[in-house]
Amino acid sequence: MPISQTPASNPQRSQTSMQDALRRAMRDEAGRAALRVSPGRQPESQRLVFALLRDVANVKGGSLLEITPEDWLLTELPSHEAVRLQAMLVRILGEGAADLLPFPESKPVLSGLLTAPKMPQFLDLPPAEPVSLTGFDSQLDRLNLAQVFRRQSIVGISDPSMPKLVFQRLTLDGLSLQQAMAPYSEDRALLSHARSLMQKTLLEALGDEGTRTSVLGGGPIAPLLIDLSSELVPSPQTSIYDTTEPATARALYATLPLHEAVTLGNLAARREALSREAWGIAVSGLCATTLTLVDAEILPVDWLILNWSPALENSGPLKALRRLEADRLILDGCDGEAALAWGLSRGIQLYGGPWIEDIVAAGRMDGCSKAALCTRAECRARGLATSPSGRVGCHMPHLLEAVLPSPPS
Amino acid sequence: MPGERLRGGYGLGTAPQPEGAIGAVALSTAIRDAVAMGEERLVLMLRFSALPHARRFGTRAELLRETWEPLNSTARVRSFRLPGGDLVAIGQPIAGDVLEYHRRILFSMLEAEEAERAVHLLRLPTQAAAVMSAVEDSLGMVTAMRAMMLAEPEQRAADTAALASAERSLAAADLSIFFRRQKICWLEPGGQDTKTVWEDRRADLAEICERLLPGCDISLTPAFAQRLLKSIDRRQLSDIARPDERRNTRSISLPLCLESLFAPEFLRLDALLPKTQRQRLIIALNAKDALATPDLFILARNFLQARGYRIMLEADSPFVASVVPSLRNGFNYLRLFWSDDFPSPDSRSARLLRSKLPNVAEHIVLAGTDRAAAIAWGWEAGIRMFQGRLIESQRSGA
Repeated sequence: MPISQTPASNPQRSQTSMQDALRRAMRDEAGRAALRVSPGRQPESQRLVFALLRDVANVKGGSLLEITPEDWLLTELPSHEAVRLQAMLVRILGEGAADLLPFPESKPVLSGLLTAPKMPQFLDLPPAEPVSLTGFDSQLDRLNLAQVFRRQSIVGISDPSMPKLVFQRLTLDGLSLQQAMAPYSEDRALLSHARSLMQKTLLEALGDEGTRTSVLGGGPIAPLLIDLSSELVPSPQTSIYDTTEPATARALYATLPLHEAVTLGNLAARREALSREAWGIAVSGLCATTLTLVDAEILPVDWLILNWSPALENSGPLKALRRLEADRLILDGCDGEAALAWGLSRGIQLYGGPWIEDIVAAGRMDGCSKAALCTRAECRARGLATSPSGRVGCHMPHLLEAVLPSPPS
Repeated sequence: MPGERLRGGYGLGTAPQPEGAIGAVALSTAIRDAVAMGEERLVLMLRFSALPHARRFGTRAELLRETWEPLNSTARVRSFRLPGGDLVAIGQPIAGDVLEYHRRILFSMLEAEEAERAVHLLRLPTQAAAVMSAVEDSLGMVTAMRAMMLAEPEQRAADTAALASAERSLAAADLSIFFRRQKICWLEPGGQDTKTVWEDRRADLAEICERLLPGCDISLTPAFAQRLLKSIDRRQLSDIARPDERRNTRSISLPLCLESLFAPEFLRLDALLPKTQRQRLIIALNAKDALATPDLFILARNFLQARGYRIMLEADSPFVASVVPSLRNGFNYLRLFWSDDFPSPDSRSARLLRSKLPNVAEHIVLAGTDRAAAIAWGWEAGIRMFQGRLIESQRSGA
């Protein structure tokens, strides 16, 4: 029987027919099974799973119910169909994504749902409409640098009691951008357009002395990593210093997301040209997933920024990590001791992330005579700010500018 | 070695001439400290970046650097070399005579106008702003920004209004004129055994943009190109789901945006096609797209494989293909787009690529073969499947 798409205007009738569907599935008839599915959080994976389940339900019977937004149930279908469908869903979504509930053994699961405090609903997932462009420009105009950029610290921890500031990074905070650009951020293309516009604005701000100081909160403290999109990276033909020798060191690093760095064309030549202007290249976006998709060790870049997650300890990512030189890695997104401990055990020397910002704020307050006047959270937020208004309230601005007190020489 | 960069430290080291970025950062720290303490300091700068080209290199530049040399070991003076090559010495007032002496020698070695621009003796804390601005300039920031702004494109970037109007026109347009159908041919050296393996259907984005976004360079707004491609994909997928198309039994390859695989049009097509028909479709995915949303890529790949489609990775160069190994990532084929700057078949990246592929002939398609050189490159690299204008003309002549 096809799933009935009950109009939302009649919730009571919908509840009754939903209960009917569950009772019908529990009838005494062997050779059938229900399928409980975790479709994942991504809208794309939900749409895909919904389409697959609906197609089967339309032909083989059964109703499609939503127990919670990420816990779905196809009430019944012939056992062999259920086994086939389960195998396919597991192949697409991974182990544990679909559970087979054969009848009659699984009847209690379904009857439990009938008496659950929150009743399941008929599942419906209307196709996503393309996001309209109306109003996009004016929302973009309202976006400002300080909303989305953070002045992040990358520290060297060879001696955990004395972290040393090694780099500063102007990071585009994806979540803040997504929130600021809602609802347009549902369209990945529009979101990425907003991102690259903000990166261009940042570059312009850094090029002007006045705005540069207000973004950075002072003069250069450490070499700077700047999140950029590939179209903002100068081509090898654009000579700046017109020198023939590469500069002796890097003061700035164009920080490119992995997908752009890989496909940028002449990456090695660009790096060579940039090095004449004291620029280097860093790559962000390496994580447990992407490590297994690429051979990052052959990327001709100065730094690889790896995002911490416990999944890095899985065999796939670990195998890929063994091919990377630890002294080319920055472990970002460190959210606690576990990340640091893991990184140190792999020989990684450089760290960034929320946990590091906590350590930095604590270190700064240790050396601050006015520390009693502020909270750690305030000091941390001011350190991350990229506008003077974000730093208002600090009583020791020169300490804030220096990020961390200088180690004794 | 990257580790070296960590060991320099950003405190006030005692090395006479801290190098590069470390030098610049150490210098700015020294300046900030002097200003904060209200201590008087003299700063001598020699800015090679402000000199004409001829002065910056060779013997003349060498002479200037030699003149500077004693400052590296003068008591109460610290000398710094900045990333762009500029030299800065910061000294206590007691070393003022030495710094003034060097300023005069440097002046005497340059034309008056050049010297005015390139040699400065400044005082801290009163002239701190001028010193800092020179240091930051030397850090490459200002110059690099300027260069980026200079790289103004010939055409303008599309704005949202232009994109909206292009999308409206696209919705009403007959898309068939924008599609390019090309054959993928198996071509043995010597020309025997030539046969068509499948047909490729690709929207010609350049042509579409020329018609719908006149005067705009779509490469400046890649996100807008992506949005147009997605709506083109949806239209094309609806077309392929038509009954007459579904009766077609020849294999075709379709380049699609990753997100289009989750659009209602693809999911509907997938439901309509029996397995044998799904097997004749080769879905081509772009390496950039796959890496931009890796979770989505893995989901899409697993889905396509589970349903029996064949998948092809598209890479612009052997380098991209060697970074993203097509075979290990589950692709049946790899399509490379030929260009004149392809490395020679025995170059490192081309060899690296082949080392990861046990069967190049049946795995790689070389597209964009518009010249004989491309086919020669392919044959030398072991490639047998080709696509491009040259292949089309051969077929029509056959």
